[in-house]
Amino acid sequence: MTLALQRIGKTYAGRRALDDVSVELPSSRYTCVMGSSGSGKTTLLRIVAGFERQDAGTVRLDGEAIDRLPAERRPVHTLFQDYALFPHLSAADNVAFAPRLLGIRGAELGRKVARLLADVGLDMSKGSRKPAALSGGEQQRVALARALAGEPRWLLLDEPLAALDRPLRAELRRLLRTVQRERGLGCLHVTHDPEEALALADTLVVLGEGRLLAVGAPQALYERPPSLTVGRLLGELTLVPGAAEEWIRPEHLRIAAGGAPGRVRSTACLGDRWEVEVEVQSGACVVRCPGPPGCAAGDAIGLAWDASHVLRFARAS
Amino acid sequence: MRGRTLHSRAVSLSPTALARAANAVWWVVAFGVPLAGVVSLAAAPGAAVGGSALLAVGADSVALGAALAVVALALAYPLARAVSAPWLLTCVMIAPLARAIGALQLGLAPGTGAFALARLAGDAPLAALLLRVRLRSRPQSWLDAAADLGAGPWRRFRAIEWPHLRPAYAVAGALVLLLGLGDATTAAVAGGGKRYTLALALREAVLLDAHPRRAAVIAGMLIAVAVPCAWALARGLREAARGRSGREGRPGRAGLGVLALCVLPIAALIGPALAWPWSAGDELLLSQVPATLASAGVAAILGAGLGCAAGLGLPPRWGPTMLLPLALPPAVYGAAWLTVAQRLGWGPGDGLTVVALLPGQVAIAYAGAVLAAADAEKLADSARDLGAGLAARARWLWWPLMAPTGVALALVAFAYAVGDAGASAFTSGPGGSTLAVGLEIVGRGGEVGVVPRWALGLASLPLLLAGLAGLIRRP
Repeated sequence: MTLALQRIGKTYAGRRALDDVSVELPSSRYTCVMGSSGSGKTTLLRIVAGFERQDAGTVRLDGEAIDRLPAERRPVHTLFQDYALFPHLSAADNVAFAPRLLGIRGAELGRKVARLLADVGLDMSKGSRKPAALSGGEQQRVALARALAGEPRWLLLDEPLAALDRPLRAELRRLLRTVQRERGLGCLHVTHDPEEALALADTLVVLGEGRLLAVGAPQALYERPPSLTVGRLLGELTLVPGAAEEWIRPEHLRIAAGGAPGRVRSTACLGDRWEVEVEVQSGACVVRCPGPPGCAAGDAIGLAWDASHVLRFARAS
Repeated sequence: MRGRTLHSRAVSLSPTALARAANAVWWVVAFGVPLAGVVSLAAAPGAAVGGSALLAVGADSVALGAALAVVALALAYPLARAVSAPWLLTCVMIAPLARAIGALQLGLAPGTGAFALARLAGDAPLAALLLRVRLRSRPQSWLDAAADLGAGPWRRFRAIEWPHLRPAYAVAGALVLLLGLGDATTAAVAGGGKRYTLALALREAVLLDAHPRRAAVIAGMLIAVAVPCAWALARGLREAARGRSGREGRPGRAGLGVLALCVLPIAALIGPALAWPWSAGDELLLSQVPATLASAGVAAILGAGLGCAAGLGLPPRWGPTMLLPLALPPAVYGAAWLTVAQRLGWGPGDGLTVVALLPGQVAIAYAGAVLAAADAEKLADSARDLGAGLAARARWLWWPLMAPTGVALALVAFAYAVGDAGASAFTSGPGGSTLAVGLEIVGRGGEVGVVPRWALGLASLPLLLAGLAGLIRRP
């Protein structure tokens, strides 16, 4: 079920939240929409879900316009950022909400709920608890099971991992990928976290100030961003030593004797990698290396890089 | 997918038609008929209106209302910091008639002083209640930051708390002023003929002087004040419902003195109420209780149901329209509905009282529902996203979530209807078929011992209802 957004425009109080956004997203793929705050990504998601009405353009599912369908009749379900679990219903009843609306009752409903809870890594002992008695991660899993219970064609995810701590985020990220693959779902996932977007996406959509900045495979966009803005949204860029308008990813710089001269300002351990800030002739640049850099603040070092990793952008970008 | 679509389509058609029908009925009851009544009054033949006298009453009424609003707002802050919302609401629900009789029982002579005390005993808790709603979203982190930077309490209040509370002060000021202008009962009882409000002038123009054109001019003046105030109320309500991420400050104690002042008139009723023997006046008022409870009950249930449905279902742009009946004094509804009903051959009585009270009841419930449901917008989106149409959302989401709020709002509306003598003075007919109107008449007839007893009864009703609401809310 292909999701096509055609020339979508939306204005709030005179401010363009979305400006002529067109993109076609294939079914059964994981699409991440990235952008900084206020870039229009959540507005886009709410338009697809049917909570907002666009001022211009059309949303099509398999070629059929769904603009006139109210949210409750669209074959998409949303995983909300704050979960929006119904506080008066138990976890199992939350999951059973959509199947009940479809007329499923009794033992069949019980089996379906148990299966869905198991699919997201929860057992039925948690099913009788109210949302307030569940942890953040458990609430997120219940919300995912609830969204899946209505058997949507597309799952819309509004920064679903933003409120979780890092280990839980990684765990749920893997769960989302598994669920998507097993069910052949189309997923539209809004996030501002490049790591999350790069890890999850088959297709990456980048928005900036309401405009579509880039669409493509995540690795390709990371390595060859079409603009400086997109490049910076997807990860850190640093100036190439001695060049004013050439950029490179910090992990593509390496410390090597005989390279471009520089002096170490500081070093920092980031856990799985190290970061070195180096003062060079043209200013400062950052080097990221997988292990301890073997230098300290004040040391004179040389910097080397592979010319194929250098990025040049048109001035307008 | 197909099953889901068919199911949703089946339930989504009739609620739309129902909503349109309810909308049409609302416009007729809340605006159409009252407007027709005012026009009919204006078109009636009669003597000259006496514009200068009316303007003098209007100016006097506005000046006193404004002065009382300023005092009520000044008292409201400490009261809001000291007293919890249920207790403030209980104070607000006490009938103005009971407070007016209580002010006289304190030994105050009828006039400005007794009127002011009776009004302030209700206005200060009302303003405090509105401030308290706003205080729930108090920006504690900003206050902490200001304190950290060396700002003292007064500077913190001026720089942070005052701008935050200003919308609530504006709404409270507008509402207190409107209530002052529209209060005929307190002016009639505690004012003792020395203090007039526009609403009392309207009542006398219709019921005593039979001067419909003057009544139309007064109603027009009240409507002219009410329309912009309804807009301001709607805006304030939206502000109050927004941004609840703050934290209330520590309770203060200074407001307990203000609370004592507010309950003083009611406390003054206790002695005479218990001391005076049962008399014929008691029997007369007792006979009016069943009809009063029935009409108030019907108006409250209808009002709470319609108001909650409107609060949950209507978009915010409907706010001013829904809140206009709250800004219009009950006396305007009473006079207008009486006029129209007489033209239609419908005599005064309980039915007319219910209809005249209904717009105000709906507006109260609407305001309460908007405030209570502000946090639930996300849940409604979530239910829609899962395929719940209007009927399914009402059944599975709103009913279980909002039933306690609906019951509480129905109880508030019920207390308001039982204590009302503003609209029912017109619609209950000669002799008064409702308790509050009967009590006012008996009081004027000199049954001095009966009056405090029944006024205390009226004043105790909100306390009983608050207790009942507490029991219902208990799991």
